[in-house]
Amino acid sequence: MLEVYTWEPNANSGKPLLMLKEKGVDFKYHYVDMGKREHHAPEYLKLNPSGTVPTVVHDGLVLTESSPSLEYLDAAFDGPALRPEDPYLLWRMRKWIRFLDFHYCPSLAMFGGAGASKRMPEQSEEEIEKQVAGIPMPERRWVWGLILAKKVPEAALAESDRRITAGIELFEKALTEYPYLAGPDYSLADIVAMITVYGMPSMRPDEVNDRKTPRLMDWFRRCHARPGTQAAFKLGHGWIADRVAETRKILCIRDLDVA
Amino acid sequence: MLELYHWEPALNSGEPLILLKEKCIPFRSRYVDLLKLKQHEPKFLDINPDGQVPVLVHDKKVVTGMSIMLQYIDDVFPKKPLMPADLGDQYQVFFWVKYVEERIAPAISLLGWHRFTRPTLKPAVIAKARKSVRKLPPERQAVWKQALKDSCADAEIGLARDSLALAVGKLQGALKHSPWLAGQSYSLADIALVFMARAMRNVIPDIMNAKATPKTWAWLKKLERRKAVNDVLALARTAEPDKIFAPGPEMARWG
Repeated sequence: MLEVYTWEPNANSGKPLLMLKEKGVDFKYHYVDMGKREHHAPEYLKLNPSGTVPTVVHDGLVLTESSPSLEYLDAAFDGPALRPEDPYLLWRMRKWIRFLDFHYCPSLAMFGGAGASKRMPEQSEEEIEKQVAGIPMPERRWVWGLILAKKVPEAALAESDRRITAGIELFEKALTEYPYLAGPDYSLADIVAMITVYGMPSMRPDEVNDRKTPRLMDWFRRCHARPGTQAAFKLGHGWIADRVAETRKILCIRDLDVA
Repeated sequence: MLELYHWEPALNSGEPLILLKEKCIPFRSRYVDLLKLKQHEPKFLDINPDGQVPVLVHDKKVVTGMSIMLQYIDDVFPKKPLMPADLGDQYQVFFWVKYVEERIAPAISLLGWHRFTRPTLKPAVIAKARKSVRKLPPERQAVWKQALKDSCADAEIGLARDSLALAVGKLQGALKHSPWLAGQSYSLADIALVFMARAMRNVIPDIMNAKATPKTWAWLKKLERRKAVNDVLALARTAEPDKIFAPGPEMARWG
C-alpha cells in the first residue's frame, strides 16, 4: 500500500505526485491543507515529526525527505526508469536536484513567503511566538516568524531575485548539452525542476521566452505536454490551477484527457 | 585516471578519502592547502569555479559536491559496494547524505569557524582572504564576507546550535534501532558522517558527549577503529585538523 500525505502539486509537496503519475503508480492521496497549517498539527506530527510535506508511506516505511524518497520510489516500483544508468549522468541528475533543493527552491519559496507575508494580519510578538512554537524544525520556525511578522528582508529578496535570474541561464546552458537536464532522457532532475519552475513562462515572461531562452521554452513545452505532468497538476485543489492554465496558454499546449 | 583534490582528513575532504580507501581504489592525491587559500587561485578555480574542495576528476570528468561524489564513486566502482542492497536502507543513505550537506555541514562550519578559526586570524590573513574571494561566484563571496566580519549574530549561532542538536537527536534515534545509520551494515551514510561527528565533538561538546549521546559516541568510536578511517587520519599534515574550519556551505536561506 502506497500513501502520499501532501499539499498541492507544487514544489516539494508535488514531487511524489508528479513522479508517481509519470511512472503510472497507483497511490492514496491524503490532502494536507498547508493554508490551515495542518502540517503543524499534532496528528500530522505523529506521522512526520519534522512537520514538513510530503510524507510518503509505503508498506509501513515512512519517507519524509522528498528528493531521497523519489530515488526510493523509482527503485521500488515498475514503470519507466527515471534515473540514468550511466554513473556520470546519474551524478548530473543528483547535481541538478541538489542545486534545486539547496539553492533554487529556497529563492523561489522566499518570494512565495514574502507574498503570503503581505496578506498576514498585524499581530503582536507574543501572538507570533505562540504560533511558531509548535513548528519542530528551528529553521522553519525562523522562516514562519519572518512571514508572520512581515519581516522578510528586502536585501535577501533581492538576492533571491538575482539567483532566480542566474538559474535561468544555467537551465538554458544545460539544455544546449542534452535535451533533458541530466542527459538524453527525462529523469528525476526534470521532475524536481518542473514541479518547482513550471509556471516560469507566465511568471517571468521577460526572462523566459522564445527569444531569450529557446531551449528552456522547448523543454517546458515537452514537459507540460506529458500525460504524467498533466495528470499530476489535475490533483490540485485549485491553488495553482490558474498558473498552470496561463502557462499552457503561453506555451500553446492543449489539455489532455488524463486522470 | 582518478584524481582527488582535497584538504586535510576533516569535514568534506575526509569522506571521499575514506571511501576510496575502503574500496581499495588507487587515485592521485592533489592536496589543496586551504590555509594558504589555494582554493581561490585561478588554477583551482579552472577546475571548480566555486572554489571548494573536494573535487574528483575521473577520466576528465569533473565531479563536485561531497555527498553526490560519494555516490558517484560507489556507482562507478561497483566492487565492494557501500550502498546497501535493501531499498529501505538505501533511502536512509539518500536521507543522510542530503541531511549532512544541507543541515549539518553548514552549521558545523559556522560554529567551528567562529569558535576556533576566526579568532586566530591575523589582520594580514584577513586582508588576503578578502582579496582572494573576488573571483568567486557572488554567493560564495557573500559567505566569505560574512565569515570575515568580526563577529557573528547570536541568533545565527543559536540557529546553528539548534540545528545540530536536532541532528544529534536524529543520530541517536537511528542508532537505537540499528548498529549503523542505514541498517545492519556500514555504508555511505556512516562515511558521510564520520568527520561531521568528529567535528561536533569539538563544536557542540555540551550537546554531543559520552554521557548525553551514548549511542552516537559508541558508533563514532567504532568508526574510528576502522582501518580505512585510520589510514585517512594518518594523512594529516596539520595538528588537529578537526579544529580548523573554513567557511562552509551556506546555511539554509529560507528554512
